[in-house]
Amino acid sequence: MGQGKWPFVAVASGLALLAWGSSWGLAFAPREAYMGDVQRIMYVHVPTAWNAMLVLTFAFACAVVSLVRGGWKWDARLEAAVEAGVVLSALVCAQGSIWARPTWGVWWDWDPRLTTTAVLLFAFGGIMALRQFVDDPVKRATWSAVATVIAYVDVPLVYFSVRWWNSLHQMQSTPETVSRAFHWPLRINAFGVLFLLMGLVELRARTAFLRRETELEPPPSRAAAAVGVAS
Amino acid sequence: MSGVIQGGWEFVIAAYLVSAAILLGYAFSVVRRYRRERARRDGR
Amino acid sequence: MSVFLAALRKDLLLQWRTRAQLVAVFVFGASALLLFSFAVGPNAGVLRQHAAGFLWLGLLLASTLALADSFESEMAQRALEGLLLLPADPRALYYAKAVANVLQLTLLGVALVPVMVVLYDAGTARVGALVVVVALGAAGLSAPGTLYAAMTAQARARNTLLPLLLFPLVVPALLAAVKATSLLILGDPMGQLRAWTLLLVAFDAVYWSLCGLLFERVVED
Repeated sequence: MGQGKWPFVAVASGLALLAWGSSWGLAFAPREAYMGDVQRIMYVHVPTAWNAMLVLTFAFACAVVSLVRGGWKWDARLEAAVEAGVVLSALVCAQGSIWARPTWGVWWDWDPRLTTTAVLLFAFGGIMALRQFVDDPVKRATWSAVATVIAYVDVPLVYFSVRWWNSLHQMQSTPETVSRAFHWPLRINAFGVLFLLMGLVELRARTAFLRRETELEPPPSRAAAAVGVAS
Repeated sequence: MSGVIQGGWEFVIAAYLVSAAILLGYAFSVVRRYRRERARRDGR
Repeated sequence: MSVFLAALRKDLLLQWRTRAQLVAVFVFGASALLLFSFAVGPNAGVLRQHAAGFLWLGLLLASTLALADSFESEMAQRALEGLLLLPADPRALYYAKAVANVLQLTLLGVALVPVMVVLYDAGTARVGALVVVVALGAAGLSAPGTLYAAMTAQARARNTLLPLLLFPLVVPALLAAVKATSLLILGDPMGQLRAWTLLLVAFDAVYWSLCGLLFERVVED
């Protein structure tokens, strides 16, 4: 696993972009015609949602490679991507809830995309729990990869079933399109979260890889222990 | 839905604060765990 | 194919011999249905409207017990390893276990229907269609459920892990089964039953193939 410093650069630049995009969206972007100032939540909500899906797709890719090729690097990346996916999904749900309250008067509007994210949150949270409760590293790697594949394949099924189920209730969903004037803060924040994630997932993967090394290393030889040599 | 939603700034601030808290908190957590694991590995 | 049939016969025989457990699971499901009505209150109209949801929630909860039980004998005396040492395709073992579980869950679901009829005043004239929906929903629970039961039987905290992993996954099947059942009970003026049933079939198709492919990796050593 790599040793370079680039992840720290990525994290720092990601945070900087987020600061820029967010202040633009908060202070300088014009007020939206129908939604008023509440619309500004979209400048963090949409980028977070995009990146949540992206990192979970990356987790799926890691799972497939891990199953096909094996090796600890991809398992380490899977662990990192699943954790980041859970954190982002939780954030998306929190943001969506905070947006729904002034808009619809309820804390949850059963928007299909938001609801799918909530289901994903539980599905991938379960995978994190699975990793905690399996002691054998090989089984842990295989099983969490299998579970990730199964959970990811479910995403379109969940989305369509919820969308359909909800369509009978005629509630407007979160706006799909944002008009031109609002693009820039959105894009900047999207890249901000992306860079932040790239750095954090890499660092988290390295941590997992190091832990695996510690887990798997053989016990010190008796001769070395007798002489008192540090392992 | 007609008309403009008035105010709502407290929700906007809440959303941005929660986002900042979670993203920064997670970033700190990851970096700290990484540093700790590197220290453990290098200290042997 | 012969492996599949032999394994299926073994699993069905196992289920027959442990049928007392199935009765216990049924009682669990029935008491869940009873508790739902206590939670909601003795409002006949409300109960009838949500009867389908209660039925499927009760069946879902009961399925975690039934599915976990289905691998109990495999874990005793390391029977699972013994099975896998045979020159048999693990996929055949998976499908046999999954089919046996579908049959068991369908039986459970059908047995819970009279409980639903009595407690919620929610029956249907279209009994055949109802049995089909129950079977399709049971199939949706059984495919990933059997895979995860095999996995969690070998892990710690298995009683918590199985529902934790299974519940988010089966949301589409649950939604479709509840809607389809609800339409059968309350009436289907817009003819949506077929669409929801097709969603169930799609879910089943995806997971019966995917889980069969992945099973070997779950039980390998």
